[in-house]
Amino acid sequence: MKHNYTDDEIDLLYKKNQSQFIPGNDIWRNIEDSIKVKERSKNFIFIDTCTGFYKNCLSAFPGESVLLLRVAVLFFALSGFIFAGIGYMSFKSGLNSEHQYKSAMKDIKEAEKLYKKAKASLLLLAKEGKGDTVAINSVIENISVIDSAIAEVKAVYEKQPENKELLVFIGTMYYEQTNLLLKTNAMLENMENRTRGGI
Amino acid sequence: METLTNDEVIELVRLSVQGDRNAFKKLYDQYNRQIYTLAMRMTTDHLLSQDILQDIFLRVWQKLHTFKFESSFFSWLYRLSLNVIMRKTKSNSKHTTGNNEVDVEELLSSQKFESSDSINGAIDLERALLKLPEQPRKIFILYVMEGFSHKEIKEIAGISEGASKAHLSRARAVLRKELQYET
Repeated sequence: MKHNYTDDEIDLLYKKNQSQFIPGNDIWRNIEDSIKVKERSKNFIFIDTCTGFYKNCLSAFPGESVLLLRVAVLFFALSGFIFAGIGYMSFKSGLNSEHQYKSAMKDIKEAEKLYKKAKASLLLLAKEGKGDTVAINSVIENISVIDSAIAEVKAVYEKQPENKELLVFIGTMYYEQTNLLLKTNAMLENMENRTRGGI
Repeated sequence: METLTNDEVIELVRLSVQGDRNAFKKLYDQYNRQIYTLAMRMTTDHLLSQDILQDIFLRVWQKLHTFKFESSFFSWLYRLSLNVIMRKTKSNSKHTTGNNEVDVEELLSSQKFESSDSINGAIDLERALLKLPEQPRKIFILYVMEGFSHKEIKEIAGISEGASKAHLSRARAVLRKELQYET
């Protein structure tokens, strides 16, 4: 003979059942990583980054390589700045359509390419200019700080492709990187003028 | 794990609002199992539940400053969790129907059972729950296991009270059939 539970008995059985499931150990690490990314995005202060960068750059390049360096950096950084700016503004203003999204992504990718070229030129010319190795490494270190931040955000974005905030952040980073290279160019120009003026 | 007092929880919330990640980790340690268990029951999907748990605590970190200290922190957390779970399971509904096997290993590792009978009993209950269609399962969990009224479920799940009652009735019928035994 079969025993059928009443509604009350079924309810009671499940109320008594206090089985719990335990999440994996790495969940907290993922949460903490995401918190760090959010905080970095909130606390990124452009002017502080620039100030540190200039201080290190000022002693990095010998006078004879300054002009070539300035031309290369200016060309790539200006182009990258424009593309990244367009992409960043598109993300910031909201992605209302698939077309807008694709267009903004294209601008960001273009900016990424130009940034890489500008960075490569900067590093190559700095080396060719026989600059102080310690100072050059310092410049590379400054650039790589932002590079690693971008790599971290990209890694998180791969896990959370639906998170548009991360895309905005990547766009912001490229925008600020190219901006940084433009400022570097201005700084190099000042150095050149000072050299010409015999200061 | 040691259960925190209400005052300790409040202090941890205050510290977390100020950006103390260690305090927030303690809140996570305190509540992650309850929230994960709720997510597991509602989704029956291990990976989706982990994803949901992560999403919930990230939201908690971002929204903690909106907690008014008027209600209990767990009630606030629980409401927020339910919102995330309902939204995620809605958008992932096509992925939440295929998992019909109880993860016995996970169940056993998560608690102490006093006898093999209690182990088998717990497995049978979980297995029967997995046999339920998605909506009746959610309503049964909310009404019976989590103690919500049909009126509250109407708000949480976005369905009418009548539909909630109908799903509950269907859930009980399926469970009755799954749990019947020979005497």
